[in-house]
Amino acid sequence: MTRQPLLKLEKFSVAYGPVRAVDEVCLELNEGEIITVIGPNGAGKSTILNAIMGILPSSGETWFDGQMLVKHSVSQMVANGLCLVPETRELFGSMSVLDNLILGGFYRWRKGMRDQEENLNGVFKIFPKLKERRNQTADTLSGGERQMLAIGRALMAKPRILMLDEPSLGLAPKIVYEVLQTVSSLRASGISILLVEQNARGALKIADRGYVLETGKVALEGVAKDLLNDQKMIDTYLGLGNNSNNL
Amino acid sequence: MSAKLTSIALAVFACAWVFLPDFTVSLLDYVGIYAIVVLGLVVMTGVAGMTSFGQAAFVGIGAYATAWVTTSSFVAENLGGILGPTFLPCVGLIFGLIITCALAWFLGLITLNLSGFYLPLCTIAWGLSFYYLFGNLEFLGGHTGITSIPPLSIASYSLITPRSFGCVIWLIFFLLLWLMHNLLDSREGRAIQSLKSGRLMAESMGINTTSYRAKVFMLAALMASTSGWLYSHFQRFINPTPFNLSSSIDYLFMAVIGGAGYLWGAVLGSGLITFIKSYLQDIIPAIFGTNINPESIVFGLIMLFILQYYPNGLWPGLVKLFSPLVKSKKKSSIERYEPSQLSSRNMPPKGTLILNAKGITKRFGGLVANRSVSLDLKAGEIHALIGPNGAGKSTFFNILSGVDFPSDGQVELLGESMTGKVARDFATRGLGRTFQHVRLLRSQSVLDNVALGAHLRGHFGWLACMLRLDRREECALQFEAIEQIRRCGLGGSEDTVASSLSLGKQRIVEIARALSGQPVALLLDEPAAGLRHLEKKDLATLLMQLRLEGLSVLIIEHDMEFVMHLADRITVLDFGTVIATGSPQEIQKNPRVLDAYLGIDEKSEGSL
Amino acid sequence: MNWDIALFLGQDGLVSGVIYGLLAIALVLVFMVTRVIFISQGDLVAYAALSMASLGGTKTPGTFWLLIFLALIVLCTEAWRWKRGIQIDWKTTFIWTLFFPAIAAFCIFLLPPESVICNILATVFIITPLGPLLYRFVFRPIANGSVLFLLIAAVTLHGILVGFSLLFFGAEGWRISPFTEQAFHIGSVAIKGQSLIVVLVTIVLVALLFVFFEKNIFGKALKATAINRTGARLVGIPIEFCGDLSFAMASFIAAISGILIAPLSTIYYDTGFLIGLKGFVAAIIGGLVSFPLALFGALLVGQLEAFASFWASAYKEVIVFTLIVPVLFWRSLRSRHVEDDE
Repeated sequence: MTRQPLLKLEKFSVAYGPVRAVDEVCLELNEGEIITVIGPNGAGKSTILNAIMGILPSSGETWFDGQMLVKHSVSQMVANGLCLVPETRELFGSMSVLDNLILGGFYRWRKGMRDQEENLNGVFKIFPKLKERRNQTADTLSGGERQMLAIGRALMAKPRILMLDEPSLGLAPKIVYEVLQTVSSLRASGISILLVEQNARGALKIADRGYVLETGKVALEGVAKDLLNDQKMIDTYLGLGNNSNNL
Repeated sequence: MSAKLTSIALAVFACAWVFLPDFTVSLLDYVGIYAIVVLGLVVMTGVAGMTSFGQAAFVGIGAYATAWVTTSSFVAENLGGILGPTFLPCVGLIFGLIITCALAWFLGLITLNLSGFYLPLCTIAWGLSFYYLFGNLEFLGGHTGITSIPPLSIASYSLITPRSFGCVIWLIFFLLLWLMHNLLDSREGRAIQSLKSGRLMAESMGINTTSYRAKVFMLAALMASTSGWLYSHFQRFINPTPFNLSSSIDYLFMAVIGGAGYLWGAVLGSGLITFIKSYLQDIIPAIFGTNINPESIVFGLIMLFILQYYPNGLWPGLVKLFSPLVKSKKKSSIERYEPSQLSSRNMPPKGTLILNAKGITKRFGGLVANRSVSLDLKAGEIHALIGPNGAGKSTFFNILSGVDFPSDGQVELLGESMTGKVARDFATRGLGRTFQHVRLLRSQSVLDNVALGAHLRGHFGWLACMLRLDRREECALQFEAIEQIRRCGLGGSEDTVASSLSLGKQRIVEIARALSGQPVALLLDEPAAGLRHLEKKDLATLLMQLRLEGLSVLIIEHDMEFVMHLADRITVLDFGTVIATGSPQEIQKNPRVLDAYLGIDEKSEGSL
Repeated sequence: MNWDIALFLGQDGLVSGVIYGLLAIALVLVFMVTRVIFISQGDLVAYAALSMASLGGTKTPGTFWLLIFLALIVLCTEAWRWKRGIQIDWKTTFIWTLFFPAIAAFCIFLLPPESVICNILATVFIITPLGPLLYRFVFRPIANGSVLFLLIAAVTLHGILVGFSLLFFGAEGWRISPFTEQAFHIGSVAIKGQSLIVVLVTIVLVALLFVFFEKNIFGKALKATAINRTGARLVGIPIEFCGDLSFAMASFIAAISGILIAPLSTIYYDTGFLIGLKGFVAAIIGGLVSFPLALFGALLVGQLEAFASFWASAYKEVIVFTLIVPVLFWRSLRSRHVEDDE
């Protein structure tokens, strides 16, 4: 029995004036999956996430849980159960770790769900370092800890889909490994994950499927394990791929 | 506005002056007095981006200075014999201007470097202080003020009537308008316009932003002071009331409503607001009865409406309405002049070491953004700096261009150590650069934008520009700009407004701008970002041509393909350190580079 | 200058300082969330004081009619926007346009006018909704403008509000009798009961605000909106409502401030501006971001003014306002000068 994909993009485009940063991309995320969107810099990966979240305007069709979306605002996406951890993290720097996390649960609180305490303990179990530093202000944390806080804050909303924009950015290799492993383990709690990454190898190792983006278009897609060793993917990354060589 | 249209308007105005009714003439006199203040505000706030809520204080200084000089017994005793009634007001004017100058310099020193909105807040502060000061100083008449101020007189003819005095007012206004127009239409004017888009770009073109801001501030203050002088001799009595915060706010209104940034907006704004207020004072009592005075309410509501629907003021809307009648200014207006010689630089021979960065380390608190990075750039080569996001390229680039300083290590440009030097010094020494996010003067033409890059090659200062003494040099600057525009393949777009070009073309304009400074080294920050395929091809062709001509080019790029086919040498940065340097072929095969780009995970330690 | 006089001045300074403090907090609050420098806070304080005085004289204050008028305009505007397809938060709209005015009307027309408590209630219910309504009428349409543009709009609004003030209350000053004539004596210094009330109420208000911002999740949400708008959107904080709420809190504070100062001195239609300006000085001392520093600045201004008025009463304004310049200078050095860079 094939279930409907949880999130489906059909001919999804995002334009900055005359330039199409994302060009008619088709993408699917099934429930419980981790998919990754990788590709060289400037390929449009962050743009896709921002547009799905409603921060940027987009054209084309977005289907969520079998329903096509008509209104595409940030508040609408939050209501649907999507959470974005942006590249810039957007933490509340001068507020404490605890407050940042509590605010992550704001939407649920507003809707009358009072499970913040329980969710908080869940997040602390995944990220024990955050529990240690819960009274420190967010801007005193290290890069890796900030990343964990950003993900933890997103988890407080108990999202159905978690979107991560380059979580490995600026982090030392060892921390990158930790973060990616943690992301992988989230699968167990039933969250579906859309991971945008520059670190292709790391991302493909934890994902089920992958999409390789290049200048706004999907250049390659497939099962993650296959993509890992695909020569074409490697060439694309280094700008020597056949797709780009139309000089 | 074109010269022809202006002359016609002036002629009509001069003729009408004789026939207009007394009341209108009186009102127009006030419009003129205000317009002088607002003109200064337009340049300061609209063009240079510094907001002042304290102009009324300077008007007050000019007014009180001349009032005191012409009525004080002290002055009468000591100077009255020497100077007749004609010259005493002139002394008053000069006295006022001197005080204003000193005060503006002092205040400017303290407040002009305040960032963001602290400057306008400060202007509110000293504006208020002066108001209360005026009202409390006994020798200035306290709250009653000074009365019996003598009128202006030429020979034995006293300018008492509004009609006669108005001639002086409007003469002065139009003179100042002409001077301001000339100033903005020159090399210095371009520099002033660049102040609004932040320090970074202006300083990189060699403009001393602090000094320029101080000068604009002083200019506006002097104009306000002159207006005060006129006010004193027009009204013949003054008290502190018109020099309070409300008046300053009114002046700002006039500037914004008229169209801050447009010189003619000063007249439009002053005229509109003065006439509306006068009109309201007439008709509102007729409608509501004399017990109620809601003029300020109606006035405020009108202003709110304009602010919400015409945030750029009314002048631009008016221009659009009449645009079929008005031809836009063409550059050809300066071709009548013989161009003078611009200062030139000798290009160093191919292979000379141009830029040398040695052991650059940069720490931000605990974070090490660059760790002992070394790189060199030679004449006649294209060197690319690449690396994944977060590798520290932007930090390094800022250090190379003098925008930031290293924690350790040093940068040498043409053999000279640049430690402790700022972006301006780098520009003077021959560094040209572009910016990751395009920084052009959006409402100006391509020609004006590119000519800004040649700022350091011109020499005429403010006064010369105002008096049009700079025309030959300006001609040369514009010729240079046109040549660079053509060289970069944008010939024909000289008069196009910069913001209407595509991003790709805008990036080329930035390069043309950098080239007009005749740089020895060109630093490009992600020039290919956001470009379409053909545009990238054109850019590559241009850069190869520049290389042939002996220029040295350093590019930061993400676009691997663009860089691989263009660069002579590539340096790869990752986590703040250099992990590889060499030819494109070597880099492509370097395992550490592959790791950096494809990513490491614990199991695979780098080899493919 | 002896101890008695110093204590007397100190008390005077404390009371003014505390009022300025309330103003300063409101200014910082509004600026943090909406980037509007709300000059008219002082005008709203004057409105509250004058409304109290009006009600005390058993007259319906003009501010009530202003409220009705504004409510109608905002209702029409929201209806028009709804027709154009924009999503409207009707619940909060009705709270400001129907609920508050209704209670105010009830207090004015149906409750006994001699009771001071009823007058206080009426004033609070008239003034509090004015904030969010003014926000929607003036500032929300230009919310994306620069701080300067918003400041110019705020100044324009001030002009309009002062005009209405003159219209409603005339050029004469108003005063109401103190809530209590009690006085306590410490040594030879009399501590007025009224002053005590002012200080106590302020302490309670500041404490409540502190609890709201530190303990309550909505308070944290407001704070977060000020710190990082994008982050706030991503966690589902309703940014527009935060604008409304911050203005509502500011006008509530204005209502309380006005009620407190009405018995202290004669209030004229344009008193608001000068009070507001001094509160503004205090807020600047706090850099427009710090509540405790703003409070401290306010107390400082209060003391400075009290002692300056004793020594050089004519120049007291000059002194207070010249004080701002070095403070701004110091503040500007301290605030991280983030260049308008990438």
